[in-house]
Amino acid sequence: MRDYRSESARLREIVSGLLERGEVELVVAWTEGEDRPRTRETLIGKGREDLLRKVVWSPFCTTSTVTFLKKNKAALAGKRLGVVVKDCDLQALNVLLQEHFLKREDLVIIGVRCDGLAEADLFPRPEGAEVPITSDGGGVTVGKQRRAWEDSGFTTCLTCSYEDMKPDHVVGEYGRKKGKPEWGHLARLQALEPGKRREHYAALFESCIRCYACREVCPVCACVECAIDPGERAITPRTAPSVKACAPVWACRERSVSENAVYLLTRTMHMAGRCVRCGWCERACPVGLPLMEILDLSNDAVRRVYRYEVGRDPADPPFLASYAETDPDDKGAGH
Amino acid sequence: MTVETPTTGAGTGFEPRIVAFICNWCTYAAADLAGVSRLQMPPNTLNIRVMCSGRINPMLVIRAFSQGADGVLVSGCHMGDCHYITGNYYARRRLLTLKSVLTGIGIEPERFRVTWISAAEAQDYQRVITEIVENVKRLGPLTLFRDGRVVARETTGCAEG
Ligand code: SF4
Ligand code: SF4
Repeated sequence: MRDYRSESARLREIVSGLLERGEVELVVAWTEGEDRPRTRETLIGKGREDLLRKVVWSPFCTTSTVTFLKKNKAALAGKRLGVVVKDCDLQALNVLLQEHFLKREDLVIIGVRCDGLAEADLFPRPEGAEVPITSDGGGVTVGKQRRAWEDSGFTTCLTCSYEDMKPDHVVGEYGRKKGKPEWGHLARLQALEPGKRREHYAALFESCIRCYACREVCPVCACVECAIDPGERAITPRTAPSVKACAPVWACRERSVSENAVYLLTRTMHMAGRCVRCGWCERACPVGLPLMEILDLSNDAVRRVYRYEVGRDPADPPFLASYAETDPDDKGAGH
Repeated sequence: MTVETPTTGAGTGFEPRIVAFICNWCTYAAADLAGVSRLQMPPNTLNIRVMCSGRINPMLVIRAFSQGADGVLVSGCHMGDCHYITGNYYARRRLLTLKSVLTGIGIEPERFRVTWISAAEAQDYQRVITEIVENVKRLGPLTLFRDGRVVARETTGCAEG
């Protein structure tokens, strides 16, 4: 059985050690407050004992510290950073390191061994900060409330297979066997006639309201200038009017099957070899679109056809920026 | 870019519009040779010459489909013959991943083809074009992206909503 209070204490030791010794200027870690067991990402500097006391690691550390890094990239540039990561966060971080979005030598990576995540809303709020949070092979327990992993709200964690990646510091030990990637939902869809499949995906495209929450929440969707959203185009005082006028707009903001499809298909292609299947886009979508049904089309090809492991090692070449002589060719009509 | 599809409804009169991205050094030369050799093939393609198949961003293909193409061909030099040494290797990985995605959402594999045709292979070019046009004719117009509304008229913005 894992006791997250003692693992959090160990994490605090490591974080305060790094800050004390001056190995890093800032640390990105989860903290908890009044609304325990809920957590949030927090930036902690030297001498911030008040924040350091609240540093925590538990299955309720559901948000991605890498999304936090991505969003605050400009403010954090050039600083030596410590970052606490779960397995999926580390995988996403490796993707960003492969693409030189961040520099490995600027980072000290503290990995927590993750058995799965749980949704705080499903648990009653514990009385007091001393109520223990524990987990075992079967589920998560907060005080007297216990839920199986299967009903804890994070289905993606049941099929998560990432483990034993190599951070600089490790906290905790795995308490249960990792899952296996699952493609059953895809197989069910792919068994349909092409026409039925088109209907299914057209309905998905049609419901998207183009809020871009899926892009914002994604740890690896990190381009400064998004090809799809012209509002994000980086325009500086030196940008010539002709450039502004002629910058191609790949999909207009209109909500229609056609334009939404261009957005979602382009995003799916952009995610090829980068998506870590954390499921955050699907969770963030206000319309509740099953986005993994489309992302897994490229995920499946990357993993099954090309046998490429996403975000294994920061030194690996990115999927689309590499090739193998043995890559398959177009088989024409049959595929 | 708007591709006006000369559609007269599914069935006998349907003439598909195929967008073909072909590379300057091999397939374009093959198309040229097919022309001067007077090889007969259907006139349904809109050929777009690019310097290398490696230039083809998946967005170009997605956009061609969303703007009314019923089929798309990308064709470059054979592996090992790329004018820029490895452009077609990168293109192959990227475009075949795209093909898996497109096939996954129900766009028939016949509608998106990736081939390698050298400057001397005019007959292969003729065969591929004929094949695509015949296959797409049989499949009918691609309706996935036509939701009854007018989509972007120009690449620089929406003219009509
Ligand atoms: S599952 Fe969604 S949020 Fe997570 S990496 Fe993939 S695309 Fe991004
Ligand atoms: S979060 Fe959902 S509704 Fe918003 S842009 Fe993404 S898919 Fe569309």
